[in-house]
Amino acid sequence: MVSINWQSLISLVFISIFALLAGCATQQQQEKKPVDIYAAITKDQVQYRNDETTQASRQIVQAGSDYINSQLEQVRMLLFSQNYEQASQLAERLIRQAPNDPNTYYWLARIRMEMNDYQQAQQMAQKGLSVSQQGSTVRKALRRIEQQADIASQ
Amino acid sequence: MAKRKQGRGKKKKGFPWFKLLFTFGVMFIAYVIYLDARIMHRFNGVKWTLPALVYARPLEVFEGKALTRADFVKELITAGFHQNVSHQAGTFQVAGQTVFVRMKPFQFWDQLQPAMNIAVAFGSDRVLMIEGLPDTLHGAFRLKPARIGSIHPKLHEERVLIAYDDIPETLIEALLATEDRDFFKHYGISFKGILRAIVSNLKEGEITQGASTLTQQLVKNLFLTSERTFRRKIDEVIMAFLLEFRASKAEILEAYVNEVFVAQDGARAIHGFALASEFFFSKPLSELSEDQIALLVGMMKGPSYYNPIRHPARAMNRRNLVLQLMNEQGYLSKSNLVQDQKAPLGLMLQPAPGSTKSYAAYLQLAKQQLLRDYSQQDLQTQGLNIFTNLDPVVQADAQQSLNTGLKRLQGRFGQKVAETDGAVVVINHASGDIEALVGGKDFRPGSFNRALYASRPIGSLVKPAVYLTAIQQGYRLSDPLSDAPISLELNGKLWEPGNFDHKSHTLFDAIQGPYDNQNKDIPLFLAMAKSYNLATVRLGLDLGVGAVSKTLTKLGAERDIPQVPSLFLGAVNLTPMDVGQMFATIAGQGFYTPLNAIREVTDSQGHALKRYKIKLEKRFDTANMHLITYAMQAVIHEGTGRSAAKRFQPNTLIAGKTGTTNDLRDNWFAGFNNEKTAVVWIGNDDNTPLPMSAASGALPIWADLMRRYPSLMGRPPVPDDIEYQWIDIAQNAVTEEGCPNAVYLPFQVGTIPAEHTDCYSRQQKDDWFKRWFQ
Repeated sequence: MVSINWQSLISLVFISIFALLAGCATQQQQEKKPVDIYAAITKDQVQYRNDETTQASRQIVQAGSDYINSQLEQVRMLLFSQNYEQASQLAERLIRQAPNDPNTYYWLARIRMEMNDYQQAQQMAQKGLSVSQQGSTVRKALRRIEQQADIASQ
Repeated sequence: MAKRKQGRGKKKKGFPWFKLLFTFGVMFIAYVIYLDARIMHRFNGVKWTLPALVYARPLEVFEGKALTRADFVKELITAGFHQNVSHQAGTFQVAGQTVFVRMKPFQFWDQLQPAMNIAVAFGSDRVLMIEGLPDTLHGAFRLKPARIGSIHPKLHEERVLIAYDDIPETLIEALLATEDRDFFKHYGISFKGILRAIVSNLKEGEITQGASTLTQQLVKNLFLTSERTFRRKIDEVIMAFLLEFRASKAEILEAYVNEVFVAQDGARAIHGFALASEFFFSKPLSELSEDQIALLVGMMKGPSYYNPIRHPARAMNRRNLVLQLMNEQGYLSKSNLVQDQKAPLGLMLQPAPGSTKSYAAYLQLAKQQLLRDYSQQDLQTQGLNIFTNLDPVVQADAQQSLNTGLKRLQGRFGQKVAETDGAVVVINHASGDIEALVGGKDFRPGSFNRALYASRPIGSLVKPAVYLTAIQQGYRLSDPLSDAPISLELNGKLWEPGNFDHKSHTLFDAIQGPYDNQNKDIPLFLAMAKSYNLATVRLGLDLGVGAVSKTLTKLGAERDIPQVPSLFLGAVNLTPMDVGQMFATIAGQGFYTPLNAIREVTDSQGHALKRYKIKLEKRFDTANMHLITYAMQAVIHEGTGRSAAKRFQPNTLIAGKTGTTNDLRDNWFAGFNNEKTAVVWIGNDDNTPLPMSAASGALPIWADLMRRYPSLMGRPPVPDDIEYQWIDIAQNAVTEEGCPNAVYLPFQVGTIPAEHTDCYSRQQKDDWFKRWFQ
């Protein structure tokens, strides 16, 4: 009778599974390695399409957003006090300072609405959408104002 | 009787003195009236008008703004601030990383910014803190914008005029001490002055003082020639009297300071002290030191003889004499005299950021745009304040990049590029602001403004329009294009386009491997990146000339576009400004924004007259623009613009396109980062070929300019209807990262290829296996 050493058997099974996984992993590694010199495309510079890099740099470039936000508050106050011309001037100043901030386009769209310039209100909202991030709150607000401007212009 | 008759007859025939005197008197009065009319015509025509003053954009500063201390100091100097410790308004001091600024009040179009003393602390690349701001400014201030010129009747736009109130006190004192001590007492002619000049000149043994008053000198400058005749002198005296009768002392002095001939620069006469200040010292008159003012005043005696460029020693002696006279008249202390006389001439002939010389091309553009809304007369006479979008630092950068680039090419190619010139346009594509415009390497008023008027074939710059048309018609970036030779019969003639290297290409050439790709076609984005002509012509023929032409027009190239297949390779003439408009629309993700040099116009009292609002028009689908931008990023990272990538931090968001026309006659590069679009053109005005392509000519100039500005990294915001997928570009099939020929490409949602590679299927299985064990 051959006695079965269960402990050894279990170890053997685990070792086999481990070897199998390792083999797969190695195979995957080999696949990932470029098989030839794909010049720029595979080696160099796929990173420029990397979204993490995009997000990180966005934070650096958009420093100063405290100021932009405080000025947007100012724009809001001017708008609500029906001082449209001044609100518009300030919002345009902010677009020059922070051209990638969708909030500035949102407020400028609202100002244009109040000034009955629905066509430009719609354009501003669409521009805001084009620079906003997917799923952001401002995106919903921009969509709403875009629709309102569209209806108003008809 | 006969004697009496004779006597009477003699008396009758006597010389008619009275009649002669009367006739002479009438003629003299008529002549005086004529001279008076001349004075009134000329003096009123030039003097009594308020030219439009043209300003750069004001720099806006707030905590967190990306701005270095060095650039801030550059802006301060450009805006006319002095670096000193005098604690007067209009000065600044630098202490470590902090800049202390003492600002005068300034009336902007939307608010009056009060006088204030502030401290601005800088980090390595941005503003960390601002102290001393009044609450009313809400955490930001604007620097008084630099005055970049004025628009004046019948004269060059570059003429720099100065009002009486703005004439530096030192200049008036130097003029009085040297030219006309009794100016405020006499009536055009100073007999006392004539006597004093005779005595002084005899004493000195040389002619140190002139006898002509400032009024006489002005009359000579305005109305007379420099010929030394009795008649001219008489005219001068009469007209001086008349002018004193017609105008106040302040008006005469103001006209003198603005009109007097100071120097000759080639064919150009330098009139007026303010322009002379710009010419010799590259800074405004208000910023000149005592010794520099004395140098200019000293030149009045003989602009050519005392020219400090040609005769520095002579000019210095004359300057020191003027300083001496100022000291004798009590206008200058002894200690200042000693110090000023030791000072070097301090000439600064190169255009500096604050010099109006560097803005002449932009002024031409500004005037062109202003004439759409204002009459020539209003611009010349109403004292309007024109606030432009010119960024003085970017303007100086653009000029420097062009000039350095052309010099580098001359070092490499020698005489072949001796006559080569260029143009640069820089645009803020979010607002349409034209931030800088360079009309040539040595642009002067009256020069040919290449940025506005050099209408040249654009070559491969047209390709983004061709590929964008393809994307609009449903092409994907991964779709294969053949770059095989092609010939067409057009109007009975055979047209055989070719690639730049006279070869046709396969995917193997495009990505340098692997061998399997030798017979494979090239994916659309890569054909654009590599600027393959044959692939583009084939694609264009499929799209149609009309469709591509329509895209060009929608992008902003509103010119006659030839409806021929050679359009696909850029057989359309556009100016650098036209190209700037086109590429700004692409950079703005499909939003067309009319380019604008002017921001605001106010009247002479500072009341707002006209605002040039930011206007947008969405002309292209945002998702399609994301795709074309991707292909243009590939130009720089993988294609013909690859040599530029190393000048930027890795992964910087930059995109663009090279353009080289037939026989290398034109070099173009147009491209953008997330804020600025820049166009560079270089070529010869006589249309002779260049010895290099755009990759070696225009591209390094563009890269040298654009690397100076911060930009986002990575990719532009991804629209909702775009998804990214790894694609095997040899098979146009879905694959996985790391598989052969894998490239991460954007697609319109729902257009990702249905096919999968074997590598993808294998990895999916592996992933399933891994997930099962997790």
